[in-house]
Amino acid sequence: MSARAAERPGRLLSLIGAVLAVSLLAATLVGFKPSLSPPALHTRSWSKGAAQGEVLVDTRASQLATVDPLAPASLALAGQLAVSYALYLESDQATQALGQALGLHGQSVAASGPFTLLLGREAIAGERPSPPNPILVNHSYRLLLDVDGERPMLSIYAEAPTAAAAIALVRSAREVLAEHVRERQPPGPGGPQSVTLRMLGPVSGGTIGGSARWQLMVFVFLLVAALGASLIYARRMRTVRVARARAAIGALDALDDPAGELDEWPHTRRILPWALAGFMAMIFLVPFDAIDLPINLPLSSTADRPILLALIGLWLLSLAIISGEARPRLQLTRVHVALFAFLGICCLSVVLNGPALANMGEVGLSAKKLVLLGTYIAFFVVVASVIRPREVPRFAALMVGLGVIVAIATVVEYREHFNVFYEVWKKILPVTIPEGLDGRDSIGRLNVYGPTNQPLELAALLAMVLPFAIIGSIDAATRRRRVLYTIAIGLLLAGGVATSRKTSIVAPVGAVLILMAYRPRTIARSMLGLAIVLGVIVHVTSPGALGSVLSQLEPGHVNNVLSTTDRTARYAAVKPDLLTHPLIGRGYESYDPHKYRILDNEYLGLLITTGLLGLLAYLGVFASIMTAAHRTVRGPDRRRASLALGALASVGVIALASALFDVLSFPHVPYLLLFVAGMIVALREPTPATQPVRRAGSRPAPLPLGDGAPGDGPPSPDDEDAGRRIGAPRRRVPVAAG
Amino acid sequence: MEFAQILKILWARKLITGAVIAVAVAAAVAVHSSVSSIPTGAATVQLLVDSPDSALANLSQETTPLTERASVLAQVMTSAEVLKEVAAAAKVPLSEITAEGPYSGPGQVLDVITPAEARSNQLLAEHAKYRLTFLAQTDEPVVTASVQGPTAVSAAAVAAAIYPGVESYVTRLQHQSGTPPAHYVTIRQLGPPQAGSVNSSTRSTLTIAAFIGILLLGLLGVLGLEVISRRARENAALESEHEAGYDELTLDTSALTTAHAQPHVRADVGGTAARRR
Repeated sequence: MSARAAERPGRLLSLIGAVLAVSLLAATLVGFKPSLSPPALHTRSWSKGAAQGEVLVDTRASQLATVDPLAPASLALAGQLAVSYALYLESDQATQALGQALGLHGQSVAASGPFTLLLGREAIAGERPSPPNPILVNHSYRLLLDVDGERPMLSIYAEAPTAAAAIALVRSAREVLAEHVRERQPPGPGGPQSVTLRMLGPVSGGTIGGSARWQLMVFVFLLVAALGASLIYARRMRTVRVARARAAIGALDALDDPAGELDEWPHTRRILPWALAGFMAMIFLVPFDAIDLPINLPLSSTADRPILLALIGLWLLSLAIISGEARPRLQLTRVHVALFAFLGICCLSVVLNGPALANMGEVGLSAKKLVLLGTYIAFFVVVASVIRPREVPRFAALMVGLGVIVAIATVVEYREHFNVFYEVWKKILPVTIPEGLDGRDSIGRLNVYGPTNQPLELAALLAMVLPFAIIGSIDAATRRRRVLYTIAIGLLLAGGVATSRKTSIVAPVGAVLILMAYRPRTIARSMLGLAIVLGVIVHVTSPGALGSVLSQLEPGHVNNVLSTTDRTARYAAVKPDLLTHPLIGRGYESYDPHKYRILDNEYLGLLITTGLLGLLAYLGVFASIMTAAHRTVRGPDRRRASLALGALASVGVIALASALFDVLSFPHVPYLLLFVAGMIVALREPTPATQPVRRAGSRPAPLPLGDGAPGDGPPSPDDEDAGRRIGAPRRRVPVAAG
Repeated sequence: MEFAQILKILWARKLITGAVIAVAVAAAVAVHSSVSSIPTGAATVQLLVDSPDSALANLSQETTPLTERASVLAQVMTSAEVLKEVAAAAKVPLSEITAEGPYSGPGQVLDVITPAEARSNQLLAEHAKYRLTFLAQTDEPVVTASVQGPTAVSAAAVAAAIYPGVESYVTRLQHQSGTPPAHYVTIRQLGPPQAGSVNSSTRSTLTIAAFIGILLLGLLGVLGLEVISRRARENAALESEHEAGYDELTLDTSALTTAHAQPHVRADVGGTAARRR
């Protein structure tokens, strides 16, 4: 053994020790706050106390328990009085009194509400300058008052660093309010109509996120340890990694090289590529999510389900009866691993919180979404096993073509208020027209849906196609092709901005930045050259739309526009949910937006429903797809590199869009994302040799023996009968499904 | 990695693969048999908010004031004050009962997204065994109470306790406020509670999810470990070849003493490097 090898175990042990030490330190810093003088570790509080209590605004002769036909109907008045009391508890006087009662040393508590009355109302008052508030507010102590304005029950909610403090805050609020009412009543016993506050039972409360600290510490320890171990592993395995990468690249053929007669889509009789092309056409041209077929399928009967089931059935049939190169290549890549790991974590998140979900009646929703996720992954498995590298450019061109059709239809919808997709399909199938179609949202933007169920989904769909169009324009072999691709870019951008959503600008900009990261000069030169042409196309096709979107993105406006403030307001509102199950979440997709709140952020949604582990796995899916594309982008074949770059940027668009809306809730985007991921996987494969297609288990026809006999030896290009003699797929298997 | 290769690896690691499958099956069985933690019972009961001489039997009496009171009462029923009485009547701890509503008529506005402070309290109540919902009819003085509980029998028992609990609260209120008996609001139960089973598919859903989740992650773990060990072996082989190249090189150079040998050594270095590439 050489000296270099001998010193390795010791060095490895010290590296492992260092990683463990750093992991431990990171976990400790998450759980404890260090102080230098005196040197100590103070527990970092990740939990919160919460409490709730109710007050009934009643009269001395109780309105609730009495039916006196002669007495005035004062229940409604009591309801209005309850609103006044809620507003009183938000006043400086009351919040200061509460701060004093809790011993906050001159600070007051934060108070807000009533949310039931305020929700759904637009704030019409402009913002005015206000003098600095001399009162210090301790935002750790938060009081929330709620009343519906019609009934006289006032609900008081509190959040404080501990449960005891929260309970004390609610009790103090009740006392302050009772004192306030007492002070305003005339001395003496009072008449039967004098106001009486009835405290409805004891204040209930508890701790939120009691185990959050340990869960976060364990997560951080495991994360840092895993990162460190990965670095050590990657460093130690660099020799084999480099060798494998070289071998893999060496095995790849150049896509532009002539390869003779190949069985590639569209010049193929294999059914599966045609089925995939049809499925992609459905993604772009059919509002399938709004079509509920009159057939009984488990969990959902939207139009994509039977088609996907048929596709998977065909694929399974191909695996069973076809052999040779025409058979789908079933394999396990890093993308497969990431997707399966994500599915596994999602399943466990539902199981581990199963009893609570069952209690809330939310298991059904999670089960439905898990099945949906499973079908997305099955779709990816089919795509990755069926598409061949030389088919990728053709599918990319198909995608651009379909994207352009959608873009044109979107522009028509923006200008003429006519949605061609819904109008055509509703004549054939039962289509549920979305409520907001052709309406305006809360900030006056026109709802343009295209074939999707949400303008954001449409904007993301078009932005995903854009990188392929840009790459097509740059790599175009002829001037005509370049012009066509340039028009396609313009129409895709125009279609995007016609949705009037900020995403229509943010997502394409993200895509272009990703492209520029790999080919800065080429992309910058190309985009600058096209800027005027594209600007004209966008302005002419969707007049006013670009200005509307850009105004939403202006400095000083982007943070104040309602669609942005709504998103940021959610970060504080979902904190209790995050603290309750930080590691594994409350159950995949169990956070019903209709029941709780619309998050418009897939990352935030996954953080709540699948925890940090699920979020990490979701990011891992993007990382696996993008790193798979990265290697091809850096490879020697320029054609493969261009396509992989387009696909990488397309996936990057969805990684970005995941922060802007809940992408997994809108099926067009996940289907297209996984189709593109399948293309990336295919680009890493060599072109399969032209081989005969035969049924699994059947033997190839025996070659004739003898010198100079026809069919002896490899066929020559001039030998017209060669194909018929050797494999003759068209004769032996009339319909090849693989 | 090809599918056939995956099967070969799993077959080669029969014991670990078998252990993963066994753990997945065990987890599924454990989830399936955790009967007590999944609520399977539901019951409903209706309460009429009435006057001593029933408004339903008296044409001269308007029901509007009673309907208003039913709406308020439905909201008050969700408070700890009434739930305390219901819990006492049903002989279950108050901490095991939570309530929400009313989500009908004017109460629909309460079924809204909630700020953090209110959401925290919803989360605290997520594990309560008995979940009560009160719905007040818009035009009639009727409150429908729904109960979800661990079993149909226990849900029915709590549903049956709602009437005595509410009546006890209202009676106490009437005594406290000195209401004349002729003006009493009178609560009447409209028939016995209706009970049944719910969440019938929940257990099988969770069982399947547990099996799939553990199986997927376990098998990926087995394959991952196999890939790591294979790569380590390949790496070791490549590096030993690499080091052997260096050793040969050292031997060659030590054996060569004449100046004529130097070009040959350089050629060897090039050759080794080329092989490595």
